[in-house]
Formats: sequence, C-alpha cells, structure tokens
Amino acid sequence: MGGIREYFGNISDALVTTVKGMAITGRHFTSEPPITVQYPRDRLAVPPSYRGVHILEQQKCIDCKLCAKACPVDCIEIEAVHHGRILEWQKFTIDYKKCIFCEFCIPPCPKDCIHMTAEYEMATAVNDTMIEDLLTWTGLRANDRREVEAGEAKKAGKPAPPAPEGVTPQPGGPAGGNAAPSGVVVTSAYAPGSPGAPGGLPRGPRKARDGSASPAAPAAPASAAAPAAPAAPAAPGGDLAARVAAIKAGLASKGKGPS
Amino acid sequence: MEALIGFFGDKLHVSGTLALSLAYATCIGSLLGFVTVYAMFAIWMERKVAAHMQVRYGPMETGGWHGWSQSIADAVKLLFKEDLLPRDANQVLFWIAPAIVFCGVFAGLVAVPFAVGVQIADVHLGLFLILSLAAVEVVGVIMAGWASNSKYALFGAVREAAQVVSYEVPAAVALLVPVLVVGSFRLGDFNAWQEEHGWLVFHNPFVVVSALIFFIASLAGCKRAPFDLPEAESELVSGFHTEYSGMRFSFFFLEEYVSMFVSSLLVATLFFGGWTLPFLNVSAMPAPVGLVVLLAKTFFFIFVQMWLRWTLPRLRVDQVMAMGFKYLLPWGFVCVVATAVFEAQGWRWLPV
Amino acid sequence: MEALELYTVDERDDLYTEELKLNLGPQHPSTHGVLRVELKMDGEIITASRCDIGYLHRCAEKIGENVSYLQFTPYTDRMDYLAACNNELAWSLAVEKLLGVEAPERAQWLRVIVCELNRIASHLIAFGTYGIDMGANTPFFYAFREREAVMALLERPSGARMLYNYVRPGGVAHDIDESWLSDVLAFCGEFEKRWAEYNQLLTTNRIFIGRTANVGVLPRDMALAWGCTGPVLRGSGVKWDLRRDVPYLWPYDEIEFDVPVGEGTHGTLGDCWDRYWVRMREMMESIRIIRQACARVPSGDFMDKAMVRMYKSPLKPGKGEVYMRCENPRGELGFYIVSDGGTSPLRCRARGPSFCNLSVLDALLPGCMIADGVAVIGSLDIVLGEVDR
Repeated sequence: MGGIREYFGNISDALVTTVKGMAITGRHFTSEPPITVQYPRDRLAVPPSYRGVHILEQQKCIDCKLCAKACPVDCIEIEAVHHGRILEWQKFTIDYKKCIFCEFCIPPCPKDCIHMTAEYEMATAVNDTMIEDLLTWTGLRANDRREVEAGEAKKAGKPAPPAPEGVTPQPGGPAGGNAAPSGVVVTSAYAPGSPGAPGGLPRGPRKARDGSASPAAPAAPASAAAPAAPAAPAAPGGDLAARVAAIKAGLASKGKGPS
Repeated sequence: MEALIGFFGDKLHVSGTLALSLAYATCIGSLLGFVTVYAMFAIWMERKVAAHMQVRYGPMETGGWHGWSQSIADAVKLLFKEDLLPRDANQVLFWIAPAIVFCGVFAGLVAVPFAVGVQIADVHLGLFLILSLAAVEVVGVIMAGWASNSKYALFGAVREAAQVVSYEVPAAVALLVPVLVVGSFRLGDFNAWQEEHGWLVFHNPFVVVSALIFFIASLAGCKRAPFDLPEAESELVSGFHTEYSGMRFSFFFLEEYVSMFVSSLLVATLFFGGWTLPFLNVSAMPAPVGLVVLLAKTFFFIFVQMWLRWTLPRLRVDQVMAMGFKYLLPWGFVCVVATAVFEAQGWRWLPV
Repeated sequence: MEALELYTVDERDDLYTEELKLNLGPQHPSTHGVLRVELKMDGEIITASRCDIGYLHRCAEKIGENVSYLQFTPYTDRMDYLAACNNELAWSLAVEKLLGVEAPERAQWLRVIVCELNRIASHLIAFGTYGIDMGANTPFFYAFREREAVMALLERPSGARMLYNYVRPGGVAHDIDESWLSDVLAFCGEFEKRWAEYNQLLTTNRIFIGRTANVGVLPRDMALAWGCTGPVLRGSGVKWDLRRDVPYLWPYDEIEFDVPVGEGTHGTLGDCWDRYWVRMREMMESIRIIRQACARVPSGDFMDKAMVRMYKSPLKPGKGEVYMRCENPRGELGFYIVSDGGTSPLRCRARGPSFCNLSVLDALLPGCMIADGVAVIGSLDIVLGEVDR
C-alpha cells in the first residue's frame, strides 16, 4: 500500500512541482524586466568611493615613498631628484598588471595627494601600457627650474639668471604657490571621523593609452590665468562638480607640461 | 507531390521523368530551405526565451533588432570553422554519423501535412513512417560517440542509446490512442476527423493523459531537458558531440531542433486539431491559413518545450529509465486499453 | 588515448568489463574551480576516486611570511574569494589577538553585517551553481540578481565589488554612509520574497530532490572524523556553529538566531539535499542577524584609534602564536600565526574549510554514479582558492 501511495505521490509531486517551477520562470518571462546592463552602451553607476585607477596631485607630492612601501605587491615605482625642497620628477608609475586595487597606498600619504578614482575601464591589448605613469609633468617646471638655478647660482656666488618677461617668480616647492587654490578642501578618505562615502577625485588630464600626451583638460575655465577659482568649499562628500572645477583650475593655472 | 508532378508535366509541358525529378527536387529543396530557416529561427527563439526567463536580454546586437540575425551569423561562423577530424577517430563513422542523425529526422517531414493539400507524400502509414525514421538517429548518435574515440563521447552515446530507445516505446504506445479513436495512421485523416468531431484532446480523459505521455516521451527522444543527459554539459562537457566542431556539430544541433519541430507538430496534429480550429472552417480557406494555424500551434508546443528546459533540472540515467518503464509505459497501456473500451462503448466527453 | 578495443570472451564465464579511467579534469564545468578528480569507473558507477589539487596554489602562506600583517589582508580576500569579508575577519581577529587590541563597538557591529551579507552572497553562488550542476540553468541568474544587490551594497563602504579589503585589524576600513543601513534593510525585505521563489523553483522540485536526496550520504561520525565543518557538518545533523558555540565577535552573543541542521527530510540524514537545505536556511538566518544588527549599530569609531598607525608603519606584535577561527560560509576558517616580533609573521597558516571538506570526497564518491558525483562535489561547496591557497 505504501508503495502505491509513493507511486502516485511521485506522479503528483512531479507534475505539481514542475508546474510550480514553470510558474516562476513563466512569470519572469512575461513580467520581470531584464536586469542586465548592456555594456558598453550603458554602464552601471559606480559609487564615488570606488577603488579604481589612481590619480596623483603631483604638486603636493614630497617623494616620501610611503605609498610604495605600503603596497602589498610592490607595484609603485617612484623616482625624483631632490633640489632642496624642489623635486625634479623622473617617474611615478603604477604597474596595473600587479596592482590589486587594495587602496593601502592612500592612507599613508602625509600630503594626501594620491587618490583612487572611480575609473575602471583599462582593458588594453598591449602589456606595456599597463604601466601607468601618474605624473602630469616630468623634470622641472619653469618656476622650479628658475628657483633651482637661482639657488645654484647663489651657492656659486653668481647673480641669479633674470626671469623672463611677464612672469612673476613664485616660490616653488610643494607647500608654496603650487598648493591648491584657497577655499578648496580635499577630503581625505582617511581623515579621522569622516562620515559619508569618501572617495577619490574624478580624474584630471591623463596620458593617453599609447603614451602620447593627452589633450588639454577640457572645460578649463577661460579665466584659468586668474588664480581665484570659484572657492567652493568641498563639504565632505558633496558638490563634486565644484571640486572638479576647482582642482582643474588649480592645475591649469599653475602651468603643466614639461619645462 | 502528385500535384507538383502534374504541375510540371501539364502546365510546363515537361516530360514525365523530368517532371518527376523536378518535383522531387522542388519538394526536397523547399523542405530543406524550410528546415534551415526554421532551425535558425528556433535557435534564436530558444536563446531569447531562455534569456527572458533568466532576466537578461539574449542576442541583441547582430542585425540590430534583438539580434535577429544571430543564428545566421552563427551558421556562417560554423561553416568557416576548421574541420577537425581527430587522428585516432574512426574516420568513416565520424564522417557519416551527423548525416545519419540529421537525415533520419528530416526524412520524416515528408509525410507531414502542413495544410490542406500541402503534403509531399500522403502515406497511408504516415505516423508510423515518421516514428520509424526518427528512430534512425539513434544509430547516428552511437556512431558519433564511438567514432570520436573519447570517453566522454562514449558515455554520452551509451546514455543516449539507452534513453532514446526506451522512450520510443511509450511514445508509440501513447500515439496508439489517437489512432484508435480516428482509426487510421494517415496524418491527413487526423485533421479531417478533428475538423468534424472537435479536438481529440477533448474527446476522452485518457487522450489527455496520452498526450502528456507522448509529449514527455518526445522530450526524451529529442534529448531535451529534463532528459538531456546525452549532452549533459555539466557532467560530460558536451556528451556525444564533444569532438565535433563546425558544420558537423551544427548537424546535431539541427537534428535536435527538427526533432522538436516534428514532435510538436505531431502533438498539434494528433491531439490539438492540426490545422483546424473549432470555430473556423479552415479547410474551406486557402492553404496558407491552415499552415499558419498549424505552425502557430507547433511553435506554442516548441515554446513549452523550451520553457521546460529552462525550468527543470536534469534526470539521472537510472531515473530516466525508471520514469520510462515504470511510469510512462504502464500508463500508456492503460490509456490504450481504456480508450479501446471507451470507443467500443461509444463514451466520450463531448457529445460530438 | 588509444582507441577502445573490443575484448573477446576468453575462458572466463562472464563478459570482461573494462574498468574505465575518467578524468573529471581540471577544466570542467562542475568542479567549482580547477579541481581534478581521477575516477575509476565501472560503467556509470564510480569505483574509486582520487582528488588532485594544487592547480590554484598561489603561495599565499609563503607570501604571508614576507609582507606585513596589514598587507596580508588582501591576500586573505583572495583565498575564498566568494566570502572575502569572512576571511579578512578571521585574519584581523587573529592579528588583534596577537596584539591584544579589540575593535571598537561600531566596527564590531559593522563587521557582523558585512560578514553576514557576504555569507548570503556566498550561499547564493552555492545555490545557483548547484542548480547548474543539476541541469537547471535558471536559478543561477536569479541568484546573481540578488548577489548583485549585495555587491552593490558592499561596494559603497569598501569601494570594491568582490575583494572588499574592508575588515582590517583594528576595525573596518571606512565608515558607512547615512542611507546604507536602511538600504540593507530594504534588501533584506526583497530577499525574503526571492528566497521563497528559489524554493518553489528548485528546492521542492521533484527532479532536484530525486537527484540530491539519498546521494552522497555523509554519516555524522564520518563528518566529524574527516574534519568537516560548516554546512557539510551541519547537514549531517551536528549542531555546531562557531558563531553560537565559540562566538568570535561578541555581537553574536547578543543576537538571536538559529543554527539550521539537516534532518533527513527527503531521504537520509546527511545527504546532498540536507546540506543544500542547510545553506538555504542559513541565508534566512543571516537575514535575521542582519536585521537585528542594523538596529543596534552604535555611533563611534570604525577603527581603533591606536591601530591607525598601521597604515604608516607596519605592525610589530610581540613574540607569540595565536590561532583564531571563524565560521565562514564554507566552514571553519582558522589562522595560525607565529610571530617572532618582526613586521611579518614567521608563519601564517590557514586552515581552510574547503580543504578539509574536500578531503571527504574520496570517501563519498565510490558507489555513486557520475551524475551523483557531480551532485556531491556541488553539495560540498568548495572554492579552490581556499583549497589550494
């Protein structure tokens, strides 16, 4: 008797559970919209705290190499020649073949100048382009070169070389006139007690994939020469566009490109 | 077919043998064309149905609108693929296995009535012919598995042999039920009978059961889920067609979809009215109407087959055997006997 | 491979049946990673099996001897990559024990939420891939729909979608934003509906039950003897869960949750269905835990103030050794650290749950058919990253 009950139970079980399963798939077929996103036409929104490709605020960096030491996979290589406080930059590369995007390079920075952006599209067919150079300029910039030469001349007892016309000599060095315009507060992801979703800055101009210089930063305000960028205080986690404009204005007005 | 011969002979004033050959050529060519286009459409439909059941999109790029030409692109790709023949494979068997597998099922389409007067061969034993020709594919599958010289392929072939052969029996027994009611093996007669008396499925409760049995058995015969162990991807990589690539592989694929078409067509014709509709006198209308009705029903059942595939897990081989012999076959016999009794007594659900 | 030859019947009475050697090779859709299982088969039935592992060995433990304690945290992520936060938690707790520090309260509660979310994500993969192993390809996509929600939730505080690097020695990496907790609760509500759907689609399906019930029965004694932990052990009826029995995070003591065990509902106690059902119910228990934890997250620090120095200069615990174990989705993950006072461990050894659970495979497979073998491997829910490290 139990066998017969089991037999008919099997039949009804099979039919009932099949129909129930079909109800689920049928409902998904008719009424549930697809959840996939058709990349690369559409992209999923990525939070600003996303750990993506790095960006370096080169004018702030003091070549302490703490980020390179913090890296678990040793993918950061930094080289700079020190002229007193002025740095003659050789390279600051991150090997993205090795980088595990762990963000351990961000907190040790004493000047809070390395950040991770929300950029993740870096697929390439050429191995060498995976070694990304974060520098916006190499060598010395015009201001810095003059100051170095002035310093050397002073040491040698000769008069300083004259400044070219129309340019006001400004003190170089990381803490001097290369600082970001006043009023802009760059939030650090590791500032103690900072709430919200702290994160990297949207990226500024970067070198293009094939190593050629990228086109000039778009949307630099026409009054880039004027150092007074709109002083938008970057509230933690807020007003991203103002921060972008401020940083770009700051970078543009201090001059970039090789000297 | 006779009509075609007449057409060629009389209208175009072509001699007898030439008319015959031309008629053959036209029939086979049109059937091949239909099958190829159908297979491409069915593969696209399967991918789309699967995708939407899985809350995603499926093909979207090729050809623009929902990737309608994806199958064409796939077919072209398969044609251009390298023709791999494993060195240790049995060359002859490896070569002819896909052909046998495909031709068996394809040949069965000869006896199928697509609409009034649209039938290549009006065979008296049409149903029997289709079933027996469809059984030929087993030989091809076993050849494919053996000749591949691969253990995975052999596994798939042996499972396939066991499964398809055992499910032929309940399928045939279940098909005896409509044959009993209508009294003929000729497929055109089924349509005619159902036009007069209403759909067979409403005739008698045991016809419903036998329709279900035949549907399930034909799923096993097509190697569709939940009976797709011969090609169980998660266990045997690709089953009996592991070593096949390119156009040879696509023959197996075509065979699966043509099998689905034939079995859905049989379900539609034998149980659900064929090209007839209860409220419409389809026979009096021009042939395309009947064709559309029949194809609509067929594609509905193909959709149900796809629906089942993407819902259910796979049965294990001993469970497949158990289901075939312990559940489908006895109930098939019960249906036949009960229908015989019903027919003898003249009982029926509908008073027609 | 030589072609199979026909054997002629010689003086033996019955037909000679050749024993087939089959490789469930490293590349296989169902081995949950690069696992190779050598099988000796008699037809469809497996007579002997031997696991061959090591295809995903990446020298994690050796690397651990050369990097600092903080720097090893992302490496632990990558061991069991499906349950990254849980791995990090085990490592962080071990380091904290070595240092004698404790994470602040807020961090502890955040750790609970994040680890339970990760548990759900991990079990969703177990559920989805088990469906695929059985031939049901659709539940996998539904599972990934929910997993996407979890990954989006975890992406907000941590910044990554899978290898979170969020739980660190001393606390957690970043604080959550204001709406995160309410979003987590919204996810919980949504998930409960979907869980019911999963059961209707796969769990109660007669064919699925037919494939998993009475298959791969792991008796209680055998499970204990072979060192199985996690759902594999609980599926055999042993009510042992480190969160309940050895709470490694004190919030677990204050949260109410059940520990589901197998009951032999559809077949024998300790079969594949039991293990699968334990995982399904654990997902619901995790939702319960998350709900309670979300209500109790206090304000405060998310990282121990003294530990922040570890970002700038490596930690130097004193000499000693520590063993810390946590309940991962796959079982008990343990870290045994030996410190000689330097900035890197002298030895950091991981006791991987998948490694120990996998060892029972060689005892379970003989007697099964190959389809059952796939069911058994799937029910053990192994991740080769953890097996091989």
